[in-house]
Amino acid sequence: MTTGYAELHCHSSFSLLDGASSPEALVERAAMLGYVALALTDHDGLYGAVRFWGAAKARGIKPIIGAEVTLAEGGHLTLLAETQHGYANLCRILSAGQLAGQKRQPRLTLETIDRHAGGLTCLSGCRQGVIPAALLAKDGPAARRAAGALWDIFGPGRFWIEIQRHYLPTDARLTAELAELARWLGAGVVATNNVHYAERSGQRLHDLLTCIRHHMTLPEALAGGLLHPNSERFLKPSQEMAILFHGLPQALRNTLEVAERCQVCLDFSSQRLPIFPTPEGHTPESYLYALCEQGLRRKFDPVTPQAEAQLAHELGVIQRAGLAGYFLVVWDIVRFARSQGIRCQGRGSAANSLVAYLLDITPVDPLRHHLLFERFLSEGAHTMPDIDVDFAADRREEVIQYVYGRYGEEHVGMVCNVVTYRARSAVRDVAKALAFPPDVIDQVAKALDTRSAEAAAETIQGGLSEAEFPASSSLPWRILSELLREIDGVPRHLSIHVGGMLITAAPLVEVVPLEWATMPGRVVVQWDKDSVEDAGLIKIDLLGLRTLGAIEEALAHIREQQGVAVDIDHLPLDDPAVYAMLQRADTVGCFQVESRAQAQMQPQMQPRCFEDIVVEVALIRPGPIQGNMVHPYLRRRQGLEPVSYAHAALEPALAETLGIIVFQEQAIRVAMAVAGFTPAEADLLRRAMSRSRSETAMAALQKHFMAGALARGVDEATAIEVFRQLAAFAEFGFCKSHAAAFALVAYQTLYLKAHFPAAFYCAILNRQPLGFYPPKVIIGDAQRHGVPVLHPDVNHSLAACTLERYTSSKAIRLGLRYVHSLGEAWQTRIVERRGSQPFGDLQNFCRRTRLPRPVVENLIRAGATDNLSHQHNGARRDLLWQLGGLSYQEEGLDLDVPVEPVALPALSLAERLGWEVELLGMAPGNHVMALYREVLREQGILSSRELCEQRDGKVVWVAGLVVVQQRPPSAKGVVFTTLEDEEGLMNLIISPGVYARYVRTLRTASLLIVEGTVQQQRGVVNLLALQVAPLGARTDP
Amino acid sequence: MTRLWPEGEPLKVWGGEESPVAFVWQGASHRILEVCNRWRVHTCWWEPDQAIWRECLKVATDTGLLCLIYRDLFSGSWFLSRVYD
Repeated sequence: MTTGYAELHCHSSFSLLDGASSPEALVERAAMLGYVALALTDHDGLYGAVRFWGAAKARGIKPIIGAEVTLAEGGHLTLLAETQHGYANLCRILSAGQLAGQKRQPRLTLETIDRHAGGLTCLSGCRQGVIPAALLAKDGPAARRAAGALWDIFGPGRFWIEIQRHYLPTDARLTAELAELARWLGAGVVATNNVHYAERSGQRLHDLLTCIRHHMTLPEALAGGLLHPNSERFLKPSQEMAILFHGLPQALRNTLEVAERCQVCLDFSSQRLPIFPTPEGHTPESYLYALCEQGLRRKFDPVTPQAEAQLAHELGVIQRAGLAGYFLVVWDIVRFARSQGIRCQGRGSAANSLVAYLLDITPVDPLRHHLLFERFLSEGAHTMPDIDVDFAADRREEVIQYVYGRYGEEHVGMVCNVVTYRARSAVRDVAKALAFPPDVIDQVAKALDTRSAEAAAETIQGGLSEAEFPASSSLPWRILSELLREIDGVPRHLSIHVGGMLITAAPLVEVVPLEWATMPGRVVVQWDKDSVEDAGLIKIDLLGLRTLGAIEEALAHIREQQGVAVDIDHLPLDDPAVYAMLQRADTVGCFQVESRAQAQMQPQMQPRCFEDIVVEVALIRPGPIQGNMVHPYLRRRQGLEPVSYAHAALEPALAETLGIIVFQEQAIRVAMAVAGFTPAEADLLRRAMSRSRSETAMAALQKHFMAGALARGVDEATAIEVFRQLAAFAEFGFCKSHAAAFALVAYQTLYLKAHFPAAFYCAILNRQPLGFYPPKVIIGDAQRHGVPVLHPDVNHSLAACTLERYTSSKAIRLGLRYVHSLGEAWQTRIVERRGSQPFGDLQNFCRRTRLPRPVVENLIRAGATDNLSHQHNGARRDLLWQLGGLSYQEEGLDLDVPVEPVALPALSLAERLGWEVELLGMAPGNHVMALYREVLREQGILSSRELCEQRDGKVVWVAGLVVVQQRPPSAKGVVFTTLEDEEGLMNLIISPGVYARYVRTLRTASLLIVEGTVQQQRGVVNLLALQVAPLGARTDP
Repeated sequence: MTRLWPEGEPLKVWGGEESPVAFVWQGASHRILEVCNRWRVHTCWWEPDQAIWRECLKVATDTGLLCLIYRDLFSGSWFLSRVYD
């Protein structure tokens, strides 16, 4: 079925808060209607262009790339790229408009368009175009002037009068006048439908987005004339367009003529790399070769034939793919960082590459760890390799600035991130538009634990309204639920992707439009990382990892305090202390291995070597656990289940993980071994499965897989089973090289914790937020490991935490930044004005620092000035009393009111701790649970240590401070809560039913009493909760 | 001056949706001489009882009426809403 019409004016959901359908949905609809061509013309940008282009090509529809631009002079204009040159001009125009204005408010003038009009076709626009607007305002001369100006800019045949008919009362008149204008000008007419949604039903979402954009309710927007009067702006069958334009058949024919001429390709693989400035006499390939040879001799002593062969192989593939320059770019960035003392290492699939290892980009030897280069890059692969590098987070900006400086601002851009509607943001906006009362909206938003708006819709539909808000049963809950489903995943706004940088050879501004980011002075490209990759461009991820900074800091402390230089990058990987810690799950503060899930599995897994840590990092995450991959592995490891393989050919690939597919590299090897895939095909299979964007592609690959397997003599049942295992694994599989790189950092942190705990904890506390646990848990762990933690003190603390001599060992002195609401300026002032003269007493302190009274009060209550009082007990009461009688000012004389010394009762421990928790977020040296211990013991309520001694199945009571609460999406509503007391941590498992019954308590109380059933399995203790109450309801100290 | 029927006066219409030819209103029949204008309205979908989706026609009849009739696009039924004097 062909149509006599091509849609040339169409908005996707990348016309933010305006278009209601995704580019893919529009293409799907067009394909169904038999369109031969479709344009995408989002507002002032090409955000969805790559997705659109790929989807259209896949469906055999010609994609036309364009945009609807907003003119500074007022009005809209539709621009379409005819040629590649026109596309570059379109990017230039859009960038110029964006950068001349402010974020989300482009300023584009006709003059700018005039300068870059080559290769573009212009349509006169919708009713907000200058020409139709003038005609509607009965200003014929203005319309003709505007038309003439555009005719001059674009030339005959490249400027068309656009006519839209949406069953509006003024359609007939406007159509006639536009047609007349076209005749006068000598221009042709084209029909468009100004599509804002794929199907008529999309009108609802479009109206909703309009309301959100204007911050109004639907009735308000209707009253204000902001809603389009009807639902006609969808992709129509050509027969309907023919009826609409039956008096103007040429308007439909001309759309095909315009479409015919447009020929744009969004594959930029040939333009991707900057030319790397190689030294005299070198090409990128020869320079890369030289650097690798140097690295080979450094890292392999002696150089093995295996290493030489692998290097030759990789360099060959790299050279044929034209990527030598890419490696040099990354090598240069890493080299710069290290020269500045910035700790960094590559992560991800790049660690599979020996070249990356030799260039010091990645830290793991791929030969030693049996990694697979083809997971990173393979011959004939159509996907770009990704090299991601982690830098110490606090210094990453220096590296970003280096890249801008090295390659120039016109060639460097940050990749954007599309933020889409999720449950909470969607509920607030949608409910507001539906005129729900604010307090109901608030409660609903808070009651939703899910992340996706779709799941939120289900919750609401499932009767949330009835149960929680019986008074508001008349509100449109059903419509709310339906709209939440529709808005799920719709783009909401753009932000910068955390570290993705795009570097191109051609000026960036000709490849993709640029716009301002929220960060001042920062420019971002309009594509996200998937679009960048699909367009064949190369992006380098420069990420920040706080742990790297923590390691660097710990090393500095160790150097200063002990004069020891730890060679953290060349540790032998067999330290028994490290594995002992892992086996008893003593991993709080350690990278990647400290989470609750990890701690639960370590005693069962008993890691004994580095490879075990690699498996642990890859396997122990909620995904694989729920996907039933972890338990089979643990059972096999413990000898409870035989190691078996679906087919003998799988053994070489899967022996290291006892027959279970854990790593993506293994999936590739399996596909190669069973179905005879080439590495490139195998990787494609893996990617299609994990990206889960194209079911059609997956089905096709299954056919291909089965054919290959059967050709190799594998029986059908086995082939199906292997494919099923691959598919099941696909969602959760981890890249082994990435796991290895991370396992190395994990090992380094474990090593530091084991051998230099004071330095380690101090560094961790200075880099919060970091890791799984909040600072209060970290200090509890530090204390349990023999490292005392001291209060912030105005006479001893710096802003950051430091190490101090304390009796015979080292203690951590909490920094002043740990006092809540003590701003940086105050912290600095205290340290500076203290200088080398400690403050003698409170008066001395106040006069020298002249801090505002409320700030001093907080410091007193936090215990930071305890040493300024002569009273040992009751220091804080005493100091507050003194403060009351003290008078001091910024300038002038200090006037003292003489203070009567009064004997004041000491603060109770509870009050003191209460103040500390309020002001520090923690109670160093004490645990709040210690206050309750005597009473709890009387009532038979257990401590964390006592809990560990209980037998499996016993019902007991425990109490503790809530430190972690997790509700992993894959856990089907089960909530994992960790309680802490003065002796350690306790892990609770709360079923959905129990959670629902005690949801208010669980959400608000910080101290809990819990009755539950003990689950003791192979050294791991959990408590399955039965009843929950806030501590304080039953007992008070 | 116009007469307005907010609830809409039910009509029986001949001639089909695209080009109605005549209608019967309150027992009398009127032949449509000209469709002067045609538009569609779709709104208030958020209040299911009050949702409006209709195609409106401004028509001149052989009985000398200039009136606004509409087809409710949910039910397909025709109504008269306004007569212009």
